[in-house]
Amino acid sequence: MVDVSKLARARMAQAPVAGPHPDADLLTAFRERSLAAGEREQVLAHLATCADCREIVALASPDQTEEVEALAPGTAKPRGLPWPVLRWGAVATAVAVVAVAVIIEAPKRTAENAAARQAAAAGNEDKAFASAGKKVAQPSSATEQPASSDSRARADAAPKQAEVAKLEASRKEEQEKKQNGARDEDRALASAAAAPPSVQFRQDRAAEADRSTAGKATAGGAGANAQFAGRTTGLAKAKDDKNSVVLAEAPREAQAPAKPAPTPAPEVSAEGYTMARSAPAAAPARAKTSSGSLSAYGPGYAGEAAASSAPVTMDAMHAQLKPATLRWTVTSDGRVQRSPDGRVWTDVPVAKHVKFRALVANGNEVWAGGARGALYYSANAGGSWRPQPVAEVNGDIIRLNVSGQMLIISTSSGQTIEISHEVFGDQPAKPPSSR
Amino acid sequence: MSTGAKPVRPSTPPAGVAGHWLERLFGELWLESHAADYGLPQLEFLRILAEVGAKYLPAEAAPGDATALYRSLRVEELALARACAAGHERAWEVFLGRFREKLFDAGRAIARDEATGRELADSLYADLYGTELRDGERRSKLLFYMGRGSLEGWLRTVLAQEYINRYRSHKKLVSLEEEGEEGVQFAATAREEPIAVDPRLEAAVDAALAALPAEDRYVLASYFLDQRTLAEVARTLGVHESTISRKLGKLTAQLRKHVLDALVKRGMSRRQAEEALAADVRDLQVNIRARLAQDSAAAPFSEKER
Repeated sequence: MVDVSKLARARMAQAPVAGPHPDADLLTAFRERSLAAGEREQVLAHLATCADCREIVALASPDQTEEVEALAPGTAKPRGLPWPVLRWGAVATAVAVVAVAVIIEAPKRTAENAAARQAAAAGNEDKAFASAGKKVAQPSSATEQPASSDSRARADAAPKQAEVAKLEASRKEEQEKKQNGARDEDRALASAAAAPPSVQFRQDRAAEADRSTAGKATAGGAGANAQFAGRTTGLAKAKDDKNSVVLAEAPREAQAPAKPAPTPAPEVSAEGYTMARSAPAAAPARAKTSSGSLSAYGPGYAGEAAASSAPVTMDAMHAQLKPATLRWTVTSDGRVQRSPDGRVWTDVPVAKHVKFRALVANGNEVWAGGARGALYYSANAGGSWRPQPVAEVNGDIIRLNVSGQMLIISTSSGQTIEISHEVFGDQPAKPPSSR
Repeated sequence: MSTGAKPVRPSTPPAGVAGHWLERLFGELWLESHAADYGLPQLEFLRILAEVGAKYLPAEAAPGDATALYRSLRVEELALARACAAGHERAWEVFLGRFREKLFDAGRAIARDEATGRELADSLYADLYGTELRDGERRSKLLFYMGRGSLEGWLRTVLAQEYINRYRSHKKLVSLEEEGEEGVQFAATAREEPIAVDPRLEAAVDAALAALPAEDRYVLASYFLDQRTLAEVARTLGVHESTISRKLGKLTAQLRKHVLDALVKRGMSRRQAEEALAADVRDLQVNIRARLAQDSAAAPFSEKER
């Protein structure tokens, strides 16, 4: 830092104090930047020459780290990693994940692209299919890219040439079925238990891209047969619907020998199908375990999952905030604020025209009370709030506490009201005990 | 700007701002303040507003200025404070519920010591309640609150004032034994060596400082005279410390340039002017070394020998 000259310091120190000392109100308003421009200039001119007032202003300036925190009762003061560490940690993790994904996926994609190019060159879908099958069956082909996982897949697929022939036969059978119009929903559902992937694939032609991914996902967890099927499905991606339908039969083909006792490959699909029909709420967990392969559970599931995951609501985002790391406070002018790290505080919009005086948090649950008995409740760490009218409250709510399952409300009129947590449902809260 | 030594209690509305618009405005503020909740009559509240106006508005204030002032008031907290001063029980309950812990926190933060901070806050509570009797009447310190800033901020400011006053009074009462123990009993008085300064240089520095805006002078004084950190200065102005850092760099360069220009105007050559400043800087460096050697215990109020 460049220093000013000693003389300048001396002259500043010797300068006469400008004007009378501002009172505590003006110094406070100056600190809070609520003075008019003219007044602020006057106060600053005085402060520039008065060490006493500068001392007062400096001492009275609140340190942000000393903000009063309304933490969840019974929880220790959260002292996690500082925000910069978390931020860079997240970036590093993301980069590592992407790098791993690229390392794993790149050889597969290269091989698939090469096969697809070759299939396209053949000009005929059957030829393309046959060519692809041959490619898979003959790993030493010059057009194949050398890649460890791919060569392993090819090695696994080599003994499956007979199955390719079976596939072709089943394709023809499928085409016949198509021509006969045998595609009613009940039949599809009935056959789904036996061969869910093929049913799923047949049900929604529009999700072809997802289907190929689904095929890969199924194959990835199902050993050599499924891997082969997934690979052929991937090859078909470059082709038209017919091919995709035909190749979609691959999992069923792979599953066929194990019909009485399901093999691991169809288990995944069958389970996914069941989930899609009976428990769509479990979708997020499934989606996390197999990223990018939601449609592996069939169009029904994919559709529902897409519908449930498409709108990323604020509620969902707030729910993701870790309540243990959140700090809450009520400002002196009645605003509710929240901070993830105790440094940066942001206003949380609760209700207009209500001045809040008390706040308590218990995990994701937050209660804010204020003027005229106003009580608001959030179940998702402040993401959304709803009023909770409490009967027989007189005056302002000035203190809130959580004790066990009870919310304890203290009011300015001296009331102490205890409310069970459970009543924070749809109905207005009634005080079970008031003293 | 008012001295603020005593609460002003004018019995008439502020000059130049009377009229029906003012009545309407006062009516709105009355509703906003919820003063009725604290048992504060409307007439009394209007009298308080008039008191604030008389204190902060010049006699020739325009209606717009008056409106801006009244609108900027923290009327709810003003009503609360005045109701507490009047001894309203419910107002005290609200006050304690809202500020009790904050006041202790502020006391601790200011004194940087748990016991002293609590003692400071307790003593302020006594003052706020009004232990002092004047004309047989209890006088609460809350009567001085005018609602210009937040009540919490005002309480912090009053605590800071109280802390400084206490520190000074304690400092005056240090016994000779204590001084002896601290080893300062026979310490030679630190005296600034008189420097023969060219009066033209003094005048040039004065002119350069006077030409600076008040905020810049405040920043310079806080940083160089009070030895405050960038973060502390920034916090008082509500800006980021990097802003203060940049400002200081710019100001010192600007100051030097202005002093040089002023010296040239006063008849020095450019070289002479630079030599004058360079000599000054050398003095400063020597002085800093000397100060670092003797300032083993930094005095909080080093620049305030009053």
